[in-house]
Amino acid sequence: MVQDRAEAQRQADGIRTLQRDLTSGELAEVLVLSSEQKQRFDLWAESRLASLGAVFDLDRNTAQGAMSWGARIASALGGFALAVSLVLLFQRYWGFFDTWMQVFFVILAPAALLAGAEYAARRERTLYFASLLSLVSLAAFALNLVVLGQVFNIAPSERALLAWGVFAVALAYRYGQRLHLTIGLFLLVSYGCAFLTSSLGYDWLEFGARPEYAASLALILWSVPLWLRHAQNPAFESVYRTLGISIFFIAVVSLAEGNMISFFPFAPDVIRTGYRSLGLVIAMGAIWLGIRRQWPAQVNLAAFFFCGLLVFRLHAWWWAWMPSWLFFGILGLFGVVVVIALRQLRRWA
Amino acid sequence: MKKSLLVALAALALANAITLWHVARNSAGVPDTSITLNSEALSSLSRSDAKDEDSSVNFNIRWQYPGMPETMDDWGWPRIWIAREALQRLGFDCSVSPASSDAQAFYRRQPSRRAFVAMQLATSGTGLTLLETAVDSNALRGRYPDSKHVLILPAIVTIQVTSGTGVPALTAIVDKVPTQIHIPKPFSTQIRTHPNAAFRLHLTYGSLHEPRVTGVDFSTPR
Repeated sequence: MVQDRAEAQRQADGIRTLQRDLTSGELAEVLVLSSEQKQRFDLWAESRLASLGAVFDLDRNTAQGAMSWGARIASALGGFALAVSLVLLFQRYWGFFDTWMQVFFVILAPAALLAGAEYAARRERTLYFASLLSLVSLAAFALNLVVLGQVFNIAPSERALLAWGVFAVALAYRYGQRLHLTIGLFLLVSYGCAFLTSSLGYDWLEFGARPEYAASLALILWSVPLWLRHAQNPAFESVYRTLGISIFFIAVVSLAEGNMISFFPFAPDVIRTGYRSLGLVIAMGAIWLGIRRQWPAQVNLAAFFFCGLLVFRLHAWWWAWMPSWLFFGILGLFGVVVVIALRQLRRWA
Repeated sequence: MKKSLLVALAALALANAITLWHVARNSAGVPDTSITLNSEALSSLSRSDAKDEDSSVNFNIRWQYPGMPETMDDWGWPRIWIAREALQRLGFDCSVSPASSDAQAFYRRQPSRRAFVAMQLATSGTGLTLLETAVDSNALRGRYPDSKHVLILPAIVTIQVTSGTGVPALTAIVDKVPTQIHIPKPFSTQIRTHPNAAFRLHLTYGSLHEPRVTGVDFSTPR
């Protein structure tokens, strides 16, 4: 039983390709089917396509696929625009309401929008409107806690990040939305960093100042698909890995090249050198693992950060004294070396 | 799948319940401070853009470091107003001499710390002046028991090396003091209908050091 639209689309595309190749092209010459076999295959193919199409709103050709992508992008952009509109609308008129009305509205709004998303999800298979409404519901929940904080003059707390993160992740799993999952996981990592910062007696808003928290949490995030299978949402595994590796490398780059605070009791230069080396080694390891496990997003991101770390170093060592043409020439040569190394890795994998 | 919907609803319900419980806790019991501020002590936070997109009425309470503005350095930061021992009590590592060459880097790498500040209201009601910082709010209240004129508020303290006096020394920057006050109805309507009138704002700070507007009066004409 196929649970995921992407998997269903892959299966449908495979069946159509096979149907086409069996009637024309090289395969039709190599694999000659009797009319009875061909009829049985066509019957099976049509019935399989019909059953997949009954559950998922699948694209029948490339043009429909492009339209679907357009609809998904429009749904996300529309969701963001409606969310901003909701916040501005509330801001424009909330001063004229009594406190109890303000509280009632901000508590009711996310729940009502969630009910709308649920209603839309039961009416449409594509989930474009459910995605849009759930995104606005998330914004309404953010508005909810911000307004309560403002109305009652409450000091800002990192716990709001936890509430928003859990809500966004729950919506992501409910409607199978990768965008919601990305937002939710980012909020949860931010909460984790803020909580650890705050529990040491520091200002929670400085949670970005110690990137080692973020790097550690990012590794946990990256490892989630290794111990938690996503049978119903296989595409989510890539979100965990991509976000995990992005946050990890951003943290490592900021420790290697910025003036960030580390837990290690060594001189800042030693720490920076350590993180530069660690970043390069882990990036190479991530590329190798990504190729072996066929995780293309991880390979691309790790290669991007590997090159980024190299460029930072080369700039620090050579830019000041080297002629610009030579500097960029050497950068180009490094690019060629990286391509050769990646090709070699690909061959081994 | 249904579980995730329940988790979303639980997150909504719990977050709101905890927030409203926090508000009730702050309001319950004996207030920490009841204070009256003149409108001169407040700066308006309402946006004055042409589109007038924010209808709420918010003010910021003005406060200053002790001895300001005379003790301000060229960058607008306060010169020494806090003793090295007080900084150590807040949790800062003051082991490196501020005159040493790596002092700037050493102190810049120390993150800010959470603390409480005691702020005294000027007798004219026109603003607050910082008195002292400490980790324990009860100890501060013990040292400053005048709850009509001294506010105890949470804050964030950052250690810094200043050379404003010519000799490098340690000082502290106090930040994120919750001085923003949201004015609810009906008080906001009164302020909106008398935009140029002077007024006095009555505030009550609860057990969690968060303020609540208890009254506005326009008895003092500007």
